[in-house]
Amino acid sequence: MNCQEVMELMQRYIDGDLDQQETSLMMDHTGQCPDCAAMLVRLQKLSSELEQLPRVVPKFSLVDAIMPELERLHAASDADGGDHARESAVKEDAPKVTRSQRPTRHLYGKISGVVAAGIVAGLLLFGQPDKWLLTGNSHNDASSEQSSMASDLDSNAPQAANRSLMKSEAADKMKDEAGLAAEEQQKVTGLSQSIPESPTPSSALAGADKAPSKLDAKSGGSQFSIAEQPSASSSPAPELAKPGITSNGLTAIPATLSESPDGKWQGVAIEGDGTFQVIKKEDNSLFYSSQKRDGKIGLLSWSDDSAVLYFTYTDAEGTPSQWEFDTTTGKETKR
Amino acid sequence: MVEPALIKAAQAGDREALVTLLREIENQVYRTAYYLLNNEQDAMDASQDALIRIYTKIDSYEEKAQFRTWVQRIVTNICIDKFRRKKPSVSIDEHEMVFQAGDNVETEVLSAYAAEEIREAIGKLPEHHRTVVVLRYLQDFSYNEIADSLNLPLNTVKSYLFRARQQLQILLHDYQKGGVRG
Repeated sequence: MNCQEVMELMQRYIDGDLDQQETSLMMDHTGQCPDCAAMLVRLQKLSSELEQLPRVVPKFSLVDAIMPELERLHAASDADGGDHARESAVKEDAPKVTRSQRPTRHLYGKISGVVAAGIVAGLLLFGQPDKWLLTGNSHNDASSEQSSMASDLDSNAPQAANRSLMKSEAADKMKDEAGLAAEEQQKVTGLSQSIPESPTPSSALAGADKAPSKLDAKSGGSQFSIAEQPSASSSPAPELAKPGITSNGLTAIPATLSESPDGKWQGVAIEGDGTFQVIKKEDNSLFYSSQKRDGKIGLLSWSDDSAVLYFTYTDAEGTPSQWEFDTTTGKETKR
Repeated sequence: MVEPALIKAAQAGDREALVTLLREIENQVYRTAYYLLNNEQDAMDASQDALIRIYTKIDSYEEKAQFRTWVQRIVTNICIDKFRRKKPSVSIDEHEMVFQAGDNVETEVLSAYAAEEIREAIGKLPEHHRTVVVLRYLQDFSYNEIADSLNLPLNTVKSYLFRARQQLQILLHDYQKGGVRG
């Protein structure tokens, strides 16, 4: 038996792979060959050191870190599954909310600013998606997603907030998946389009009340699904989805906000678009969204009893007129 | 070891079970990535990718394979992709650690190699040798388990492992005889 053959035996010996006979063969050789004996000692030493290498652990829980991504994948697979998946998603609604909150709760503090920016940006998009979403495909995807998200907000609400923190490459992937998901859901539910126009908060929106109180008031259902839009549509308005530009982004948006004296309502005018919306502050649901006008809407103010929102509409020729929107009737009239 | 019942529940669509399962394996996934990539940040990224892949591919796991070898196949594939794309580089930190290792040559030779030195030596191995060593020593895999994980013939696994140990032994032996402290 030569040294080369013994080398293999020694290697296997270290791994506990030798039988009795092979072991004695090896021992016989090393007993006579100092080189191989020395090699065996070195290999044994090396092996025991390799066994003792520190069992390193990650600095923080990796599962917690990827939870937002997992939530997204989960939502996407629900939608892909069509009817069946959707039914099961509905059944699982309650536990799902609890689950998705747990790992991300601590994030809410950090992202509240981002969420706020997303809400404002989302409101603008809600009014006139095609103004922001320049490409045909993403317009369709995003607007249908927006509405389907609204109908499925139990599972999507916390996740939408997290998504705005996600890396941009993920946003690209999301565009495709969200588009598919939205198409699917639209076929299934059939009511997705009616939700944004609904004069009162839809039953789906009422689900937001179930959200834990840790969510601040702004994190209600429809806002989340709207805020989702910039990141879902990626390219047309990517800057809106990015954290870090919060304050700049806000000042750059040509919106006018006015809160009612009793704090129950908020009027938001999108000057450049000639539209305005009324938000019910209680659950941040969209109460009313106006038709688009040629021209600008501005100078929002509330009546003292918080029932009527006054605004000024300046038409394309620059002629201003005074209007009011009555929250009790849900109608806008010229004054 | 991950309970088979937990894996079944996860495959049946129990999302809670799937997340629990990921939590149980995250350390073993990270450990492999860390020793293969030799860099904490890369290891974090690779392990997260691996866990996401496991999450999405759990349906494709078949019971005839061992779950842990299936998991290691996923993480090693991701790591191999990663270090093929990126040329290996030794960070300044690692150099410093080596220089700090000690100046008393005699006691140093007799003492065990520092873990850092071994890790660095592992990093110098060709990718397959490195992977085999990591699975053998950081996951305590048998030859067969390594062969399953890497989809390699048993004899190839042995020859990689034996050569890897010889190379490591030479790298560390040379290092102790002279190297940076000489």
